[in-house]
Amino acid sequence: MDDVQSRIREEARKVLESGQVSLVLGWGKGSTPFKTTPVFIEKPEDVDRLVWNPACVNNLSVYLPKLTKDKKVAVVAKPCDIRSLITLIQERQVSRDNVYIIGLGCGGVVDVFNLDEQDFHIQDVTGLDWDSGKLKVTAGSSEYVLDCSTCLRDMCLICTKRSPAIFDVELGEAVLPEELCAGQSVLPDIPEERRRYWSEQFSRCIRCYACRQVCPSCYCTTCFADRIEPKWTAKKATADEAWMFHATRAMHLAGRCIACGECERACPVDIPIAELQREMNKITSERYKYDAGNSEQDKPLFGQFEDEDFDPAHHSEK
Amino acid sequence: MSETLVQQAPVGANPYVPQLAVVEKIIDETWDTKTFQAVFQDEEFRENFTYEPGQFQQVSVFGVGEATFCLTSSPTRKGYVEFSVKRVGSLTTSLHEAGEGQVVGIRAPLGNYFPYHEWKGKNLLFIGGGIGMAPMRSLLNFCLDNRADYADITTIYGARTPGDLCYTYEFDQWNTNAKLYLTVDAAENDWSDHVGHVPGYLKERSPSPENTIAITCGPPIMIKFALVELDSLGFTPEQIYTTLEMKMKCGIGKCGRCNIGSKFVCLDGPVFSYAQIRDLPPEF
Amino acid sequence: MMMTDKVLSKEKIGEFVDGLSGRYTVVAPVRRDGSPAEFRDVTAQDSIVIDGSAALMPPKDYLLPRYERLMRVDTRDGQVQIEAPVPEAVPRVMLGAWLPDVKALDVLDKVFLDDKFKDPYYAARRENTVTVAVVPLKPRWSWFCTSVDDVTEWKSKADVLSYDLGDAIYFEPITERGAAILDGAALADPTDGQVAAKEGVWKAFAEVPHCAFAGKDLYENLCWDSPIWDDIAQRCVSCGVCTYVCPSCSCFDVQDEVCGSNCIERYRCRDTCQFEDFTLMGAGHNPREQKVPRARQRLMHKFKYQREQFGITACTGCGRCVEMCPVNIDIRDALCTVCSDRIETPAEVK
Repeated sequence: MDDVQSRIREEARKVLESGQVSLVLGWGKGSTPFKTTPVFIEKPEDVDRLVWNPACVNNLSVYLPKLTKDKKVAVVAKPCDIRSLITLIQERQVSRDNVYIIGLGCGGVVDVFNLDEQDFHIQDVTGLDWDSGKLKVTAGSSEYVLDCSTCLRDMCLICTKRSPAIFDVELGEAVLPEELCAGQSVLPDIPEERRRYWSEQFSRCIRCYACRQVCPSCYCTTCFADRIEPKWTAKKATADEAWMFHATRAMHLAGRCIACGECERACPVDIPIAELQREMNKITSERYKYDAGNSEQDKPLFGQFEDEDFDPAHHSEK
Repeated sequence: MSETLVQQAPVGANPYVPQLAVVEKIIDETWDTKTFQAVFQDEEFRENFTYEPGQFQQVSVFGVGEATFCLTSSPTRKGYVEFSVKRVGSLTTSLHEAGEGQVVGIRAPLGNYFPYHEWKGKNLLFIGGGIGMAPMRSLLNFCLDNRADYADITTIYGARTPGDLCYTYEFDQWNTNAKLYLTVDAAENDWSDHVGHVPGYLKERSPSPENTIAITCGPPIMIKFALVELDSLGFTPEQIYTTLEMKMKCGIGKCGRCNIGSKFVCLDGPVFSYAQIRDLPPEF
Repeated sequence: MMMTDKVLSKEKIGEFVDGLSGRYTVVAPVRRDGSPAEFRDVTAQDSIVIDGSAALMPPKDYLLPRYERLMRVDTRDGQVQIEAPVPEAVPRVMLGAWLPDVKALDVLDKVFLDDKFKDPYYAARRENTVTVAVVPLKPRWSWFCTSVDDVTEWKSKADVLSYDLGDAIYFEPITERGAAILDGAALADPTDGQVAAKEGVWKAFAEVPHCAFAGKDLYENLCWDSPIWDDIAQRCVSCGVCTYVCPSCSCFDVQDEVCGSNCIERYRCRDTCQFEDFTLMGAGHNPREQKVPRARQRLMHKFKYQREQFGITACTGCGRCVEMCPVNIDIRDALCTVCSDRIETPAEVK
């Protein structure tokens, strides 16, 4: 997406030179060709550090509450990053006036751990690009064209919202992969089996809190898990304490998670945390007809109440 | 200059396991500070227990946790150990509320200690603020109990109000064969001593640095200005000592929490001279 | 005891483990779908990976479990009794630890096995354990071992040095107790071809190109006011994963928990200097509340403070932090910058 990349840089240069914003937040070249890293550009002459390729994984909205406290910044954002931003605006963590959104149409981003399982050696990778609904990987002297299902981030495979919901400028086109996964849940249907599934998953949790730290919606100054009084959950990394942490976090994110999948990408032990959130999102979607991150005019889900709202006591669900 | 002084053998083969001790006496110092006197349950351990002034102890309130307190009693006064506790959180509140007779765990003695053996024949100047007097009290009483070893012993001790002064029951001792100068920031009731901040009083008293060691401990702001005064009085960093405080958990240099640069406050401290602190990163 | 090299055909790994199980508790990385392998006590039936080819949680997770009960306090009948069971120091063999991980045990040993306060829990798992380090067929892409130390010295760190030959594992005993585990029927004498292949595997490891900071005096270059801290702190989300997966990071927390009506458990669990509340004191003061002091603490502790304390560099270049950091803060880049020799990517040095 060289063309979009040039236009991102141009736009960044424009808003910095005009003084419209004091900083542009985007992705820059990583320490390897298959990674990118967040960059904070303050000078117009540095805008060439900005890149746009399938390695631009990070949900940059996680930095915005602190960055926009006292200044206006521009953010180069994928549609999922923007849905996070909408949630932050709804919850008054970011003021819409303080952020200039360079919104991008997206073709899905890569999960490096999936990339590591292909035919080429990951250290030989020198380039990643989108290619008409597929992913083109340059490794060594060869070019590989891969189905997106092999190496995109899991949440990208089921994403249908590939255009930015809000923006100040829109660049690039939404690209749906040739085969969009049906989005079936991997979770067992029967509750007992499902409980066993999660017990097994959480037995691996090391309580590093990477899932929480990369999540833009987890911005509490002191997380419930860190409180000493009351001690909601013990610090030890056992399966039952992990349950307490993840289940409570899932509840806290109900109606607020936009399912970008950063949590499971960051998880060092490959727990499918986003699956848990997808289940919560299904419930809030079905019961309350509410999806997070649609419009900044929406009230947060738990900040509103309608008479017709689902009430389990009265079994008013259809 | 004090190098890391090796202390006596720790509590047993397992350095994480505390000795049990019973709180036999609690002294109300101020509205939020109490001094606890604890006696080790195991008779043999109690008989053989020794420590040096400046060392600290890890006190366990089982079920709540473990926290660091200096050994404020002097090793010359045997049979018990003392720690002074300001109520700031769950463990300290638990100690305050449980009262006399409660069983606590103690891991002691930990840390290094004041190099008093280097100070024989010298004048000692103690500059304390509020509960900062606690670690220095161990050394002060130790020196008073070994009076002949030291020249002049002077203490300048202050607090915000008279009600915030600790160890008032020992003031007479600290003023016998020694001088005690008290000050408060704001007078109350029938306060007849000096009024003013400790660093200001230090400046007024203008002690000579000649053959003198200064030991200071108290709120950071007090220490900061006390150092300025000591410097202008001609004290060198090698002549000034303090005890540092960082969050601790294991107390034995393993959990990684209390480091300042390459030094651990629990192993290489808590006693440091200002010459040593100058070489540490400005972390605290 | 003859110190002869041996070779184990990979289909005989189960037999080899079986042979050891009579005399030792065998500890090896257990494969887990998708997640990194993890060291566990194993039997011949377990699916283990001892050729170093899979992502791997470090040995510290076995020697210093993430959750470890230190003691149990019984408060029945007004009496307080403390029980502090320490694991049994049974003879163990640890297979399949990456060579940089075994080198990192030097650091853990200095922290936990010091003379003043020997940690009995760590000692029980470590002292009676024969370590078998592995050099994989191809060095992992993120490894930068050759840039942090002279790796030829690492050969002596394990009891046995093993090499992946593809279809077999080559074992080279370094110590007497290492040689003692290589007497099973599953093992064969190496052919000349296998000896040459082993040399090739070592060469590939020892000749991993250096990053630009290699050989530069990191100790001198790392300083309090370096601009690198701001750069790291800006991007860092304080997730702590780097310290969790690091083979030489060992910071822990100690917590009390009620575990019954008259019983209290004191345990230790992982903690990290990257968490905001790591240095938070009771009265509220927190010297490392901001991200800059935390970013600084991590690198300076690893490359400067522990070097001052123990005389060794704590980082062994295993690359896990490079692979796992969700925002791609690459320690190699940071060190290059600190030495004022910024290059685009370390991989370009070929």
